[in-house]
Amino acid sequence: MKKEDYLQEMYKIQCRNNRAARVSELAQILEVSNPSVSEMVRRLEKEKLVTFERFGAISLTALGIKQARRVIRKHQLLEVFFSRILKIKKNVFHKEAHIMEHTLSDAATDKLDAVLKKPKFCPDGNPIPAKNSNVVELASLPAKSRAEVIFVADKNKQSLERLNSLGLVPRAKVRVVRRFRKGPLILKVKGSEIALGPDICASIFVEKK
Amino acid sequence: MNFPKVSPDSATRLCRPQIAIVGNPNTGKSCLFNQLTTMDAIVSNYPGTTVEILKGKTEIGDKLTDVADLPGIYNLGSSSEDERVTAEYVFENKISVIVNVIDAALLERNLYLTLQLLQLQIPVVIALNFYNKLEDKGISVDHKNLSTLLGVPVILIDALKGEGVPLLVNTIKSIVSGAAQFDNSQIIRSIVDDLGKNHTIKTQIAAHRHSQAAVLAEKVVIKGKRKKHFKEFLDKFTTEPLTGGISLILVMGAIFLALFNIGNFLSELMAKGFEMLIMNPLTPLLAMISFVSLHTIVFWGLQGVNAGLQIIVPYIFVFYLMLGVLEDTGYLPRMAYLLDKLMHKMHLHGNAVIPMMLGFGCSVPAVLATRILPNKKDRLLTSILICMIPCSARTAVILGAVGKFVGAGYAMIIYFIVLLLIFVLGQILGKLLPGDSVGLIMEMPQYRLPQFKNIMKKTWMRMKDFIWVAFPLIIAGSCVLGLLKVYGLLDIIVKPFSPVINGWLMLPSIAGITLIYGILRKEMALELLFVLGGSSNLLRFMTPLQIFIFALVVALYFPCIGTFAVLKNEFGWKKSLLISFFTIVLAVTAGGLIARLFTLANLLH
Repeated sequence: MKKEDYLQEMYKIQCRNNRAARVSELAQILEVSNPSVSEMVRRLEKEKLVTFERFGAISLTALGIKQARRVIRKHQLLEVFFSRILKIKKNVFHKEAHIMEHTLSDAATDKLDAVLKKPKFCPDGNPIPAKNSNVVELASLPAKSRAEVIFVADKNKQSLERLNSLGLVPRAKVRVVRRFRKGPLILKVKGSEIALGPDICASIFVEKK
Repeated sequence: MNFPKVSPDSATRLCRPQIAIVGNPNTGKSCLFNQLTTMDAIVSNYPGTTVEILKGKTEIGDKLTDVADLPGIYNLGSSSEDERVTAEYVFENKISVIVNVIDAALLERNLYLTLQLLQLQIPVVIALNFYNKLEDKGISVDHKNLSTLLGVPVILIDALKGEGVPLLVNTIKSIVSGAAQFDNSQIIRSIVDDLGKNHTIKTQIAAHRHSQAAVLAEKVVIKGKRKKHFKEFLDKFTTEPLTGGISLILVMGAIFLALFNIGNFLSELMAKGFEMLIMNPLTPLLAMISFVSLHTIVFWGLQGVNAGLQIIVPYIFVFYLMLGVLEDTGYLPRMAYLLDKLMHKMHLHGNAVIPMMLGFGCSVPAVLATRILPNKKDRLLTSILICMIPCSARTAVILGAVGKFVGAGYAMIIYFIVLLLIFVLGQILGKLLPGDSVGLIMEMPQYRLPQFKNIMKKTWMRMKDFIWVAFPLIIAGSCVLGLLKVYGLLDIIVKPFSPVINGWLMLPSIAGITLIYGILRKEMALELLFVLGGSSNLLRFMTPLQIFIFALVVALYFPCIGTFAVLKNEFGWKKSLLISFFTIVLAVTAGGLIARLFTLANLLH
């Protein structure tokens, strides 16, 4: 299993569930053993691509998210190319894209993007990440900036549930109304203003708009 | 999330109908509850005012109906104690109709819970509150379309004024009697359909429900031009780091000064009034009572009334008025936000600020309010600190003794010492107590103009306790003391405590006995001191230092019997006894040390 596959799968799990990923869950999806997941995760941790905490909760870092999104972008653009231009069937193009995503260069990806007239969605209807998306922790957003939630990586079940029900879910649009330097901030989401502590903000990843 | 299958039971229709008021925090549920039942639930402007289920009755049609006001929730989950309480109630009771109160300005967010409620297969009526406040935001809601889309009745209400409530009652009536049938199968099917495509994982349900709420909101919310409002300026001013900090200090300072000045003024007035209107006319009558015991009882009983009037009315009443303003404007959540960083030093978060602020009023509701905190550790730690926060009764002692007879500066020093002790203790306990802490997640409500009527009502409800419980207690306590004194028994009781009271704390012996009474109610300690000293002027029988130490000890020792009871309920015997024991040790230690420190420094002599 390649490093990029791990990053990609982790990204998908985190977006789908809006929380940190678990070792067992990665092992199941990638069809590898728990120890090999742990080994890879430790490697990724050294490269500062993921954070690994007790109880096996793993989350991508902002850097990890960027790398994962780069691969996903390649994958999805290839899918669009196969389905739209080559008219290849879904179950086939997915496999093709999965192999080619690792070899396609960045320059070729951009060309492909231009040729396809910058598609916004992949054939499955998922949004394709922009080329140079500005992925950061919510904690580092200055006041008055707008962003879109990528996912919440908090490990605490209660805060996750609360954040979910307040509308902090993937692709939710938010705006920092006010903030303290290195302190709490007030976030506008779904029309209401919510105060969030710095530790919570550090676990929410957003794409700055 | 597992939703137990609740089918509309025909049997429930025969027995007494049950209505549950459910909705997001701070949408006006308790206000509607008061309108429906003519009960007196406390209404404020911050999320988490109601932490317990309140039950009342109302007549709908000619049927007696139970109404339950449930703590506000964002979803039927369990992220805090109050949410758990609501979810459990909804799942475990046979509810005939759910009245879902929605803040019209936050429709999309509120609909998230509504969609969950619709799945319960219980008839839902939506009460769209704050509809008339939408103009400020430049939006309007097409409530008829919302009703069509959701397949449930949507009633516009103004919970504060009671507008729309009769229509709401009529709608409930027609549902309970079975006259009106609403078909929401379509929306439920669409929820279930879309879910079928995905794996049934919590978050996906959440994300899906959010997108569905967004689609619904988009269809019914009509956006217009937004007006710039003074409230927005005020909000900005009070939450920007610099101006927010300044305004926080100004607000706290203003409260202290108002309490000090108005309190002292009223206290003087009460003393003079009592002297002129009651004591002077009664003295000749009193002299005619020749039977010693009866004379003692009447005389000391009157002294008790006098002391109570001087303490309870001026300080406690004035404090509750100001707390009411803080609660109703929506400033408390801002304080939570501003103080989050400071609270981190005590291993707590900004959300603990609201219960602690309520603690300046009374520790009992404050300990209950810790239910808004997400975990056990935060709840326990905050409750321990609340026990040390000067509640209004202790404020009455601090201001009525030190503020009045020693000086405002020294009263502030007592607050400073107590708050410093709280801060240091918080830091230590925060480290020692086991458990994880969850960060601040709190909705900031809009500022609202406080309603004079509501504040007066709340103040009266909170004062009632003082009038019906505190006054009889102080009068009885005073009579007992009088009898003990007349028959020379007082010294026998005082004696065993004298090493601590006289020796260590350097207080007069009578202070010891009043401190024991203070266990019942804190303000009683000072009231009985007036009575026992035989004068409303403490300086006649105590030195300024003694007054200072007395107030400090009262502020710190044992959290009073009412608070002990609520601590026992929330945390059990062991922890509450431990807390009480600890505060006594702390009070005695701090009191004696500071008495010596001040003597050495030649302060207050």
